[in-house]
Amino acid sequence: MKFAGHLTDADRQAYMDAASRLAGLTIPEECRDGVHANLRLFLDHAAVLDEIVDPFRDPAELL
Amino acid sequence: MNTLAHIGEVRNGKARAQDWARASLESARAKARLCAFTSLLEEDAMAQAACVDASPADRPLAGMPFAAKNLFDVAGHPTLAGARINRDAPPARRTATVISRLANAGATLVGMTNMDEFAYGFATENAHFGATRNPCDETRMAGGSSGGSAAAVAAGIVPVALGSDTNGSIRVPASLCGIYGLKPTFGRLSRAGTYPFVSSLDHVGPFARTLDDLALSYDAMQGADGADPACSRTDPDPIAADFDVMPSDLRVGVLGGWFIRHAAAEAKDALDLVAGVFAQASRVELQGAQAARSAAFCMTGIEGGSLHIRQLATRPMDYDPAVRDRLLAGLLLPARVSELARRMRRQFIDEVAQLFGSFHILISPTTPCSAPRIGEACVEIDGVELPVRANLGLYTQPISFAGLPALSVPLKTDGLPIGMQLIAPYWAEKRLFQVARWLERQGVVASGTVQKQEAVL
Repeated sequence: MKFAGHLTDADRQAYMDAASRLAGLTIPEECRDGVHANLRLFLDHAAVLDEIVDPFRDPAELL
Repeated sequence: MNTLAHIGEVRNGKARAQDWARASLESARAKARLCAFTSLLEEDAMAQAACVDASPADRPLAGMPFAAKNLFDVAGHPTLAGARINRDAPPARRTATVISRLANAGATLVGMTNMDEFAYGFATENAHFGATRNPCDETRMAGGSSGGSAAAVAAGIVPVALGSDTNGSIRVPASLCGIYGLKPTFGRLSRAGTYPFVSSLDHVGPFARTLDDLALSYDAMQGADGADPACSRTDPDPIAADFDVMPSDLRVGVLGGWFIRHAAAEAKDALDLVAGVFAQASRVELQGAQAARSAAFCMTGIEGGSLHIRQLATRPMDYDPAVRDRLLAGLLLPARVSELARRMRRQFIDEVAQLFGSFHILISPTTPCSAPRIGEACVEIDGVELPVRANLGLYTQPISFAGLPALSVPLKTDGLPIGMQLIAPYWAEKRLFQVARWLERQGVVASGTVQKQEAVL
C-alpha cells in the first residue's frame, strides 16, 4: 500500500489537527487550506520514496 | 577593461577601489527598478575600499565590488533572510566567514540582495520586499531563491555576488539570468554566519559573468572553518590559475530520463547542442533521480519547519503565505518520512558513485525552461501545465541532495537565457571549470553580451 495512500481529505484534516496540537501549534483558519494542500503534496512525495527505499539501507551520510 | 585588469590597476595604484565601489553603488541605485538589492552598504563599502586603497598590492581581489544574498551576516546589520520578521532582529555580531575572506582579499561588499523568504522558493517574488526582475527581460522573474544576487551580476552592477543553494537556489537563477553559478561540493565552503534553511543540504557559492571572476572569488573563499561543523578540513584546491586545460579522454554522461522529462524545447535544444560538441558523450540515466528529488522535497519541509517552529507558533501571519503553509505542513510529517528521505540519500549517493565510475562529468539542463513571467503561476511544457515555483528546481534538487559540485553555465543564445548544469564527482570543482572553459572555446557557452556592455568594471 502506498504511503498514506488510504487517507481521505477528512482523514488528513483530522491528522493535521492532531499533529499540530502535538507540536504545540495552532493552524490559523486562513492557512488551513494551504497547509492541507502542502501536506498532501509532501505525502505524495513520501509515497514515491516508499516504493524505492530499502528499509535496511544504512542511512549514514558521509560524503 | 575586464575585472582582472581592473584589479591589476587597483593593485598597482593606477585605479582606486573607492571609485570602483562608488560606480557600483551608483549603478545599483540607477537600476533600483530591478529590485535586486534590499540594502546598500555605502558607508561600510567606502570604508573598506579606503582600506584597500591604503595597501592594495597584496590583495588578489583588490577593489572588486561584490554583493551578497541578505541571509549572510554582516556585523552591525540585522540579517533579513528575506523575512519581515527579521527586520526586528538584533544586528549580527560577526560577519559571515566567506564575506570576511573576500574582504580580506580586497573585495568590497556594496549591498545585500533580495531573495525568497528564508530561501524557500525558486522565484524571488518576495511578499515583503518585492519581486526581483530579470535584467534580460524585466517582465520575467530572475529565479530564486538567490535571485537578487543573480540579477545584480547579470545587470553589471557587480562582477560577483554570493548566494546559497539548498535545492538549486544558485543554479536556477544563474540559468534564468544567463550567468555562471557555482554550487560547490557540500562542505567545501563555510556556511558560518549564514541564516540556515536545511542544514543537511545548505551550500553557499558565487555568481559571476565570467569564469575568471567566478574562479577568483571561489578561490578566495576556500579553506577549513571550525565555525561550520559541515565545512571540510581538506586543503583548498585553488583553480583560478589552472583551468585552461581540458581533461583528456573526457567521457560525458548526458542525463536523460528524469532530467529531460518536463523539459521545454529550449532546454532540450540546449542539451543537444552541448552534448554534440563532446567527442565521447553517451545518454545515461540516474534511476533514483525522481525519488532523490522527492526526498529533498520532504527533508526541506521537515528540517525547515523544525527550524521555524517557535516563530510559526507565535507569529505565523508575519510569514510569506506560500512559505508559511509549506513549513507548517513539513512540521506535521511523521518521523518515518524523514527516515525514508535519509535512506534515499545513501541509496542515491551509491548510484551516483557507480555512474562516475564510467563518466568524468554529467550534464543536464539546469532548468526545465527559460524565465517565466513574473507572477506566472504555471508554465506550459509539452502541453502540460506545471506549477512554476515547485518545478524550476526539478533538475537541480537531486544533485544538491547528493552534495555533488555543479556549475550552471550560460548557453550562447539570441533568445532568453538558459543554463546547462555540469556535474562532477565530489571535490572535483576544477573539472567543472575546465569543461566550462572548453565549452566557451567551442563557442556554445557565453554570458549575455547586452549586460556586459553596461557592466561596472
